[in-house]
Amino acid sequence: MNTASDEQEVYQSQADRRAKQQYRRRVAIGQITVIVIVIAVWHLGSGRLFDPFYVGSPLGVAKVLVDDFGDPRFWNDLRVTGTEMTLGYLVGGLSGIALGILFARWRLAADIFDPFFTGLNSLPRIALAPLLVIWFGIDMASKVVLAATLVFFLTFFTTLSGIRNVDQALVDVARLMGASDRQIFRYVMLPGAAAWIINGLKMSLPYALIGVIVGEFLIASSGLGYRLNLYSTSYNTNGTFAMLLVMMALMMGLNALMGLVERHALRWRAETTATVQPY
Amino acid sequence: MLSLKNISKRFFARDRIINALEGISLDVASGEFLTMVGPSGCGKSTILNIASGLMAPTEGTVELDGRPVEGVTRHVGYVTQQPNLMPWRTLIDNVSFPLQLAGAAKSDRHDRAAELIAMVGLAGFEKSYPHELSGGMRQRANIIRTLIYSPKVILMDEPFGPLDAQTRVLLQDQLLNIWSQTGVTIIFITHDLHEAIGLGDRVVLLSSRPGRIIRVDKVTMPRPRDVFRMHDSTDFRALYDAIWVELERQVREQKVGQPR
Repeated sequence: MNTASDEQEVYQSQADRRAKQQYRRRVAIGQITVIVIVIAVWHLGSGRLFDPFYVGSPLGVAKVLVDDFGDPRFWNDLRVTGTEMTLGYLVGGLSGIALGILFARWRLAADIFDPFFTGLNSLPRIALAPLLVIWFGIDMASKVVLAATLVFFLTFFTTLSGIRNVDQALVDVARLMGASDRQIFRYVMLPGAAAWIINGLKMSLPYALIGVIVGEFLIASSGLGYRLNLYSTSYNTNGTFAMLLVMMALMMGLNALMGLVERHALRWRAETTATVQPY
Repeated sequence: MLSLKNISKRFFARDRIINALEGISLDVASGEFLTMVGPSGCGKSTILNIASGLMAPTEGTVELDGRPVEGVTRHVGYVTQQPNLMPWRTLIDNVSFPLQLAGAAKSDRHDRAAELIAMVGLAGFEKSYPHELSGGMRQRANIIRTLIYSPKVILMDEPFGPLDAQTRVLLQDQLLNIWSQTGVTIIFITHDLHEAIGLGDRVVLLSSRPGRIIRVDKVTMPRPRDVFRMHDSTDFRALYDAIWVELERQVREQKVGQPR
C-alpha cells in the first residue's frame, strides 16, 4: 500500500499512545489522592469530628481485617459466598443465554412470554427471598436461586436483543452464499450477538453478589452476608465497614476478570478497550 | 445464460403503489460483462435483488440456463455496495466463509483464500480484521469472497461507489483481470458512465422510475482494455456522448417529475 501514510499512522498512534499513557497516569494519581484524603479525614476526624461508634476508624477497620484474615471462619464465609455466587451466576447466566437463543429463534414463544417475563423481571426480587427460603431451605440453595433469578433476566434480555439486532445485511450475504438457517445462526447471529451477550454477563455480575448477600442477610449460618449481619447487629461499625470493603474488593476483582474475558472475546473490535456501556 | 423475462416490480406503500421496474427483458450471455447505468432511484439495485433471488418480481421470471430462479442459489453471486464483511472474522476467514459453509476443511479453504487474497494484492493482511483494512481493501475482500465459490454469474451493485477515484480505477483494472482469467459472467451496476463503458461488453441504460430499458449499446473497444487511459480514445468518447445525452435527459426528467 502507500507506505507514506502508513508510517504517518504508526507515528500518530505512538504519539497518541504516549498522550494516553500520560493521561492514565494523571487519572491514577488523582484516584490515589482521593483515597488518601478520604482515609486522612476519616482517621483525623474519627473521635474528634465524628463519633467512632457511628463511623469507626481506618485503623479499627484494618484491625478487623487483619483479625479476620487470620480466622478460618472468615475464609469459610468467603468460600460459601463465593460458591453461592458462582453457582447462581452460572445457573442464571447459562439459562438466560439458552432461553434468549431459543426465543430469538422461536418468535411465537417470545411474543407469548414477553409480557410475563417483563412482569416477572419488574418484581422486586428481594421480596421473593423469604419465599425462596421456604422453598429451598436456609442453606446454599435459596441464595443460589435468588442470585440466579437476578442474573437470568439480564442475560436473557440482552441475548434476545443481541440476536435480534444482528445486521440483516450480513444475514442476507450469508444466505446468498448458500448458508442454511442453522449456519446463519451459528456463524452470523451468535457471533454478531456476542457483544450483547457479554455485556449482559458483565452487567449481571454485581447482581449475583446482591442476590447472595441479601439471601444470607435474611437467614444463614455462614457467608459474607451472614458475617456482615453479625457485625452490624452487634454495633461493630469497623467490622461492618471491613466486610463492605471485602465485598467491594471481590466485586472489583471479578469485574477486572470479566473485562479480560471481554477484551479477548471481542478482540476484533476497533476499540479493544472494553467500552460496552450498560445502556 | 441468465435471462430476465419481462420483469416488473411494484412496491406497495401505505397509501400508494410504487412502480420500481417495468418490463425488463434482458439476456446475458455466458462470460459476458454487462454493465447497467441509470439515474439514481431507477431500480438498479432492485433488478439485482430480483436476479439474485433475494426478492420476487411482481411479474416476469428469472432464468438461469433455462431453469427458473426461485430464491437464492449459489450459482448466482452478489457483491453488495457495502463490503458487509463480518467484523469478528479475519480477512482470510471472511474470504473463505463460503467454502466453510460448504463444509471444506480449514486448511483447504485457507489455501484457496490465500491464493485469491494474493491475486488482489492483499497478501500479508490475512489475519487482519475488517476494521484494520481500508475501504478499497474491504471491497476487494468482498469481491473475492464471492469469487471463491465460483458462481456462474456475479451481480455487482456499485461495488466501487464509495471508493476514491484512484482506488476505483485500480480495482476496475483488477476486476477486468479477474474476469478475463475466470471467464465468469458479470452484471455490474454503476451510476458512473465512464465505468460502465470502460468495463462492459454491453451497456444497458435504464430510465428514471419506473425503471425501463431505454437502450443497449455494444462497446466495441478491444480487450484487454487499459482502464487508466482508454477514456481518451475516440470510440470511447463517441459512445459516451451518445449515451450521456439520453442519461442526462433521464436525470433531469427525474428531478422535474419527482419533487422530493
